[in-house]
Amino acid sequence: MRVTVSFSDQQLAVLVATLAERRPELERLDQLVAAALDEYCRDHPEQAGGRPDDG
Amino acid sequence: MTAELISPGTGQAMVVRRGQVLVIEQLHGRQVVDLNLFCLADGREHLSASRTRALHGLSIAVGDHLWSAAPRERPLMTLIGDSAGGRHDVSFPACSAFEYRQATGISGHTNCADIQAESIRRFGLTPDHVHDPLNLWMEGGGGSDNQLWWRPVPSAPGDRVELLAQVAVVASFNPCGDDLFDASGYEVSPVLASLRDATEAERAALVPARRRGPAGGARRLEADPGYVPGYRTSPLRRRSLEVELPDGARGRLDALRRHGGFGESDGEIVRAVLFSWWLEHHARMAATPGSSRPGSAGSRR
Repeated sequence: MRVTVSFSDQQLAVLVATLAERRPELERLDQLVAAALDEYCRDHPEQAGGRPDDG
Repeated sequence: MTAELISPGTGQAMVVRRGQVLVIEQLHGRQVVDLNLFCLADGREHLSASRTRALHGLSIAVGDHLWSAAPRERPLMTLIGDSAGGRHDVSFPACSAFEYRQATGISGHTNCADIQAESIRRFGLTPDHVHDPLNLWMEGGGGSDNQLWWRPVPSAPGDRVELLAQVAVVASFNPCGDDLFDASGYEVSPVLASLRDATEAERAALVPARRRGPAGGARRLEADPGYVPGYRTSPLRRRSLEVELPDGARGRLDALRRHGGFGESDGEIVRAVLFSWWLEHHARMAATPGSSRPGSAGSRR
């Protein structure tokens, strides 16, 4: 699925820095967003409506 | 006065005379606004967040005054209207370049301290005159763990606060520059500001004018007619990006929407999750001494 997200330039700068410095194994913003969604829902199953191991 | 648009990354400092009402209105909703106050007759007298919270608590509500500090110690303005019916924080400082740089490693983020400094420059004041603000539409409180907490006050387009001037003041205010820590839904939005005369009923909230403290050496504030605003982080540019997510994301986004607090559209939810995750895993919060908003953001949902 494709989602349109509005970012400020300063938000994008933070995300680009996070990609480069903290998550170099991820190559694109899409991958960072997918990883963030995955990890956040794993860490907060009560908010994401499922058990920690739910896909 | 017709309503003035206060754009993201900018602010405004204006004279509000005794008996006038400053109205600040949400255009998009959920936008925190920082407010500083100076006595027009003597710029040495300004809002004291600590005196205000000592008298009214960590957040103020309709009927509460905004006080100056000793030796003058008197109400400068009074909150007389709040259509969202929330409380407004007087415990957290203005967000600053320092804390964003500490959290992100990047300089130049929009922040209330720099915006306030630029706004009050119009009246000959300097960055050192910026003081702890009233944080409108942001409720603050204290926990049993001895830590402060904050959370946004839900507000919708058209929601407004009304502040009655008890003495002539310079009111300086700006949409909070935070778009990383969810003060305003991960977006800095414009607000509207206007002035009007108080109604007869509203004037009943005026307290008798009085002076305290040393009379000598007063520094009367006057607007510089040649002032040209020079906000460094305006305009705050935005761009829309399409991101490709795995098919399983649909159910998660719907669950997060049902949970609430992340926004309504898929894009708002993705952005809120992204920066909540960033805050938990990648923000350099340990290096933020005396943490203010970022350090106390935690998982408050």
